[in-house]
Amino acid sequence: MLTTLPPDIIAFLAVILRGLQLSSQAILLGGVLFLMGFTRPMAPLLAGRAGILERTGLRWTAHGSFTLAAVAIIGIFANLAQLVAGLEIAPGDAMGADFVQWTLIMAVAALAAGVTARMGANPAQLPTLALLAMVVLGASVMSSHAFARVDDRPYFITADALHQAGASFWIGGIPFMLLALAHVTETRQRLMVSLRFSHLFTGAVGLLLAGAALLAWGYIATPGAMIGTAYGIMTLAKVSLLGVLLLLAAMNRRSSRARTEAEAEVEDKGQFRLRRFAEIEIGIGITVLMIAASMASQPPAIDQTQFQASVSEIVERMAPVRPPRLVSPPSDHLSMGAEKTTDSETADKMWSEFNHNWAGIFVLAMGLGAFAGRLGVGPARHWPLLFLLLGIGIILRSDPESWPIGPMGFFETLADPEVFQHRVVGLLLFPFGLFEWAVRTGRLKSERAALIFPILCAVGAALLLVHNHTLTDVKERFLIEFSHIPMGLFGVMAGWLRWLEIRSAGRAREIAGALWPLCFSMVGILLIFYRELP
Amino acid sequence: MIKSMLFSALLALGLLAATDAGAHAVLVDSTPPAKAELVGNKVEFHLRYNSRIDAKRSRLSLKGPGGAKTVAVTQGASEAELVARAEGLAPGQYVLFWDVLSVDGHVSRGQVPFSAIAP
Repeated sequence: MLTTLPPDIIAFLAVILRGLQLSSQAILLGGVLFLMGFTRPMAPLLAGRAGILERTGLRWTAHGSFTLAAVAIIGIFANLAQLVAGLEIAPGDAMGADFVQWTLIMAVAALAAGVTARMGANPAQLPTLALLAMVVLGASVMSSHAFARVDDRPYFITADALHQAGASFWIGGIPFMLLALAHVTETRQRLMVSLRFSHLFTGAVGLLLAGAALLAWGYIATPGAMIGTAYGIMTLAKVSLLGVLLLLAAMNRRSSRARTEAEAEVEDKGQFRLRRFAEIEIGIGITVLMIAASMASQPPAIDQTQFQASVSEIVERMAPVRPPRLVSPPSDHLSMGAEKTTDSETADKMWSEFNHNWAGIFVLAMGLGAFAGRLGVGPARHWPLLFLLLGIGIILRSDPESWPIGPMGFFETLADPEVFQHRVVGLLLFPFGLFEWAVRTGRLKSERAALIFPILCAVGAALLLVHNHTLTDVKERFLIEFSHIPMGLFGVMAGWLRWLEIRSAGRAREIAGALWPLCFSMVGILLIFYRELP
Repeated sequence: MIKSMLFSALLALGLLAATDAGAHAVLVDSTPPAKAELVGNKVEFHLRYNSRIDAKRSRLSLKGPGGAKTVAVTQGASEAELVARAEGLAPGQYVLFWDVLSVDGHVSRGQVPFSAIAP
């Protein structure tokens, strides 16, 4: 079946699978860290809880491993399909490709890790699990940029292994820390749990940063490549989110370093703030892994010497030099798949600016509505309904060549990754708006319903961070991506700050509640001044 | 409940690595270079990339006045280089289309246009 899909969609699926692979790999490695770095060495201090923590930890690790095995096997089929359909290679020959072989090793190791984690306790269980996790990590590195480098391959493989290990131990370890905190109730024990994880995560972050520095040195090398290429700015987006994670981690560290129980109760009662922060750390952490997965499809900045944008070109594009475009060109002026002329290309860009600028007006209105609602302005609570209008606008106008305003059918154009992404985002806005409206107007009272908005907001914004414009002009594509990345970052922060507002208490809740509408409004302002023409 | 929400978020975010995977291997250098004019009826192509290429699983095809045909490809002096030959070229405009598999599993595509002129 896969071989009948267009190659672009198969490639698109391959990247989705890489993201899922990194996420499930993090759970496996995080589980090994939990079992070998927490439950075993801390067993004497955990009284009778070590047994149940270990059993639950093994169960979660098994889930992560089996998911990873499934993702890897699907990845092999997707890659084979791409080679067979796209390059017309015989299936037997395609099986011999390095990537397929390494992914097969990963799948077998993950499957074995899952089975090992499900077996009854025995002395060889944890060492075997650790060994299999290392095989998985090795196979993941061997299917990355590092393995494909021509020069200095051992350097890049070492750097990538450090980076992936650190990220997996840290991001994958956080759910296990929450598991441990949920099983202990006394302040002293909670402090002990958080202090132990603080030490483990400090080590993981050290690995991550050491690997990141080595990779940046090798793959980016110059400040110009950092800001003038897609690879470079995606690295900057990762660094920004990493900065947020480190800030949260530093605050968590304060919670875990209280010298006395009384001090701990004052600083962070019941480690409540730490647990809430840990939840959003998981979300932001996985967003970072997703950016990493999408970077795997970009050439490293150091290899893209020909089409780097200069600082002046970036400033020229980003500066808000003229008012937003509120009137659209007629659709018959657009190129719509025909050969482009100077006029039709200009009309295409005007069309895109009109869509972005109007979307910005809606988003800013919603951000201000959320702010006004917070200040007690009654009618402002209906602001989420604006999402429905925005969703209709995106579906109707984003892709003028396709249904309903263009000559091409709905399914015909879905094969284009850009059209597909626009449709998904447009449709996502309906449940997004309706759920939040029902929450704001009191029709839905559960916390679960309230969490739909932050989750979808963070998901939608992460989509912006990896949103792809399929343009052949590399520099033009970069300039568009450059403008989308700050929007994605503000959107991710708006989503997780709203999550924190719902789940947290006290000062953290107040600060998060004031900040998320601000982040949301910033997305609107950036969209309002988005432009593709001088 | 929160566990299931977090798992959903994880899964949803996992589904977001949505980007085109076509731009990985970059053609660093080619002989003949793009838009070159060749004198004669045969040509040897040398394509050098930024990453190691699986020559056995990469494809080159040549489109020109006589139609399109697949060109046999072999590995060059390094793992990042592909070599191929074409003979019996009639004068006219040609495009060499390359579809290459990088050893990290990414397929990239591109083209080198050139023209052949009679000696």
